[in-house]
Amino acid sequence: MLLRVATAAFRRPVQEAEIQSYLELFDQQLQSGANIEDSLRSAVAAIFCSPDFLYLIEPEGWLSDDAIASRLSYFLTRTSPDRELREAAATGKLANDPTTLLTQTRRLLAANHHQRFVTDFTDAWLNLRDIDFTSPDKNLYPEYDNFLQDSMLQETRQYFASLITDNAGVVHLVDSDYAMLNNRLALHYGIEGVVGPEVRRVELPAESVRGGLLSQASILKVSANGTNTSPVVRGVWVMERILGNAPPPPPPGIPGVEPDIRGASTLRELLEKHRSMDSCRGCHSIIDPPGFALESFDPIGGWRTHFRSLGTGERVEKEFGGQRVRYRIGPKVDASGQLKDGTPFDGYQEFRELLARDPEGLARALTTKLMTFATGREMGFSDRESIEAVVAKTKASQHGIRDLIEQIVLSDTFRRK
Amino acid sequence: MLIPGKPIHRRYLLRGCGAAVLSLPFLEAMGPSLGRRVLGAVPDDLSPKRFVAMCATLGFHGPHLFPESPDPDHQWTPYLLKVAEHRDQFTLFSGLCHPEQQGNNGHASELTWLTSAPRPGLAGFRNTISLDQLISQQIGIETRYPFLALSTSGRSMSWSSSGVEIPAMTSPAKLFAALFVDGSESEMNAEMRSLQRGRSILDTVGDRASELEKKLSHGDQQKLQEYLSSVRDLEQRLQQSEGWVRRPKPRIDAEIPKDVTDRDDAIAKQRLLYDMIVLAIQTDSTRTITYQLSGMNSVPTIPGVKSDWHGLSHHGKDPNKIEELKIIEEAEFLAFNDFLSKLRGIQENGRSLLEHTAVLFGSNLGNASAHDWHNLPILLAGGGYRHGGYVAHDANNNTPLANLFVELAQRMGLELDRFGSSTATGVQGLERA
Repeated sequence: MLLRVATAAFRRPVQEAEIQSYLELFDQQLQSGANIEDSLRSAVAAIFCSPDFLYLIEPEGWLSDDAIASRLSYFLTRTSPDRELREAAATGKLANDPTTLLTQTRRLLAANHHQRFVTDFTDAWLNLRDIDFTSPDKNLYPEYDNFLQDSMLQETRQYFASLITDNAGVVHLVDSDYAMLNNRLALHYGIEGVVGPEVRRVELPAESVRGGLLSQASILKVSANGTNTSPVVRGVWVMERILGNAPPPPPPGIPGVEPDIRGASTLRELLEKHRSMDSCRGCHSIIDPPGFALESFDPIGGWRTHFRSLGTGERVEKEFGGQRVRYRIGPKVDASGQLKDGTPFDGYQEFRELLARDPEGLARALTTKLMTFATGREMGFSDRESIEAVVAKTKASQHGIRDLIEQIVLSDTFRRK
Repeated sequence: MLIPGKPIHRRYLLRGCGAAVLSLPFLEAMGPSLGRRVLGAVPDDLSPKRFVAMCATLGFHGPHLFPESPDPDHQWTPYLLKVAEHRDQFTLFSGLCHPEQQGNNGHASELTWLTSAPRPGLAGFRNTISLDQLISQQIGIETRYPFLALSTSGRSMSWSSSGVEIPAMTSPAKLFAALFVDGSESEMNAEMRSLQRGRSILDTVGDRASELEKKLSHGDQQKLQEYLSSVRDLEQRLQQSEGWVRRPKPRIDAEIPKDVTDRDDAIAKQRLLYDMIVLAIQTDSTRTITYQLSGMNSVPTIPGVKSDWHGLSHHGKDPNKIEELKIIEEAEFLAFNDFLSKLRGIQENGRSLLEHTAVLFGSNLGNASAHDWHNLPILLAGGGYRHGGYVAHDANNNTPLANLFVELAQRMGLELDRFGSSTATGVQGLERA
């Protein structure tokens, strides 16, 4: 019986010699006066406290069939290998036969439980797990409710899932002709004709600001706080997570720019002063442009032409929940900027087009994120070749998201340690 | 888990109903000193020294705390006013912080308040041992519990030597039972068996881990070291616990408390754990305690507060929000004040318990609205220091907070002259009495 428990817990065939120490523990407990059940419990508890269960043990070099099965399973289903995968590992083909590995990958991706992968990966990659980190200010954003928050998460998860299913090109991360919406999101985005709470695919007109991750409310919320947005925070978010270019942290001793929501000046104006210092400009000319482009979206993902203010500004003729809204019209939004290389953009839509011109860069960034997630370690210099190979091999499908995942599984980085 | 879970006896549950109030203080003779005096182990003037560290993770609005002049009598700020009765027993510091605390999010410096490890949460970050754990390694053996890690949320301020967060206790009732409720003979036997069983399990898996270690790459060995060091810590703790199982727990004249059921009643939760800290110190059940006073992303149950707490901390200089935030933070200072009063009201060897206990109270954020981790609010009370006032360090060029930690560790009897990012021993403005 202990052999059976250990085989399941250690995710590989277990030799009798390996469970000897657990048997000894059982005997020792029995002799010290515990009954059979308690003695068994002790042995099983030890199996589940053992490093073989708690860690994925992967010796250096090419991974064994069992280690690949575990890695693949934790990558795409977030749990230990199912029977079919264990059996595939037992045939000894997982490590050496790309067709077998690909068949298993496609099977796991097609099965329902890959939803766990979508949830966990988007939680980590896009930081959706912090959706609750701030609560939008009720006076500034009275329209925010739990239904909206829940719908936001559904939108992004189902959008990413649809990219896998459709093997959509990587450009869809930043620009798309469709969105995954329900009635609450459609109301929030000002899109007509969506009835009912279930999230479904909705085609978007070409001029729509929606489509792609950056205009999704969940992302605009996790990159803001409850009251205001910072171009720096959002800029860092886009650079790190979408463009794969993590800026260095600010030098020690530099205080953050403190927002002022009384309506007098925008954070962008306060930032200008900061940016004018030589030591800051180098990084901020890279970090800030994406953040400026996203200024057109408020902290809950609504489109805005003016900031909302709780201090000065014109009153708003709008009611919410039977009460006149408390916020006023603040300063005008300026979403223009220029990329580091000097290319100017006049607002979010032009910025989005600029991003979409570099599918290879987007693919490289996403591949790096997926590989980090799949292997549980940071990508380093020696992984560059592997990453470039994945990018090159997926060119035919414009770096289709499912192709990227499949090529990652087949890559040396995934199959080696 | 620090404290083995233990069923609460029915009798105590019944007794606990409706009795959330603790009667304090009780007789000095019940404290640790009597036994020691009888044994002649220590002279009367030598009480054990204690250390308590408390971190309010959403910070305090600076202008409501820090006076403009170093003389507090010159200007009592709203928050200082709440603790003014203890003016001779605390010193408020400004201009202290840990260097390089820019982290992976604005609140990452929570992880490192007691460790001072740089760049919390960023790539390559590895936390280091927290001050309380270092102290506990040295003196923890003397008491039933080597340390207590407490929290209103579960997030802990205590970090092990391998940089792993030590889970914090949140339930006053469970803590009370662990501290003061003796099991029956059969319960004690069962606990003893379970401790011994735990050690056997650790033996088995520890052997396996050592065997495995030889086969692993360097990076993986490091990971496994974390595992091995927690196995060793746990072994030690189980062994220590075995020594205490049959020793009767201190008898006190207090009812088992009822946990606060309203999860948004932040101040009631803070107060109840404060009371447990007083009891734990008074009975010498431990000498090292950390306590996280966690902020919340919801509206705390305090009259006059209508907005969520974290949102208020990001006030963006909006005067209405700052006013609401003040209600919460004043209530926190009042709870802290009452804690100091209780420690002060208990005598031990001719001095108040507060004088035997160094109480570090503050936050990992200097200006929470901008997530600024410089110029932290740091208040040190008791501990036998010469107190009274406000000491302002350079706001533009902060003094390492770890310098204060070195002094606090030395006071607890540790022989060290460095801790984390410290550059000196002690900070200007603090002298032992």
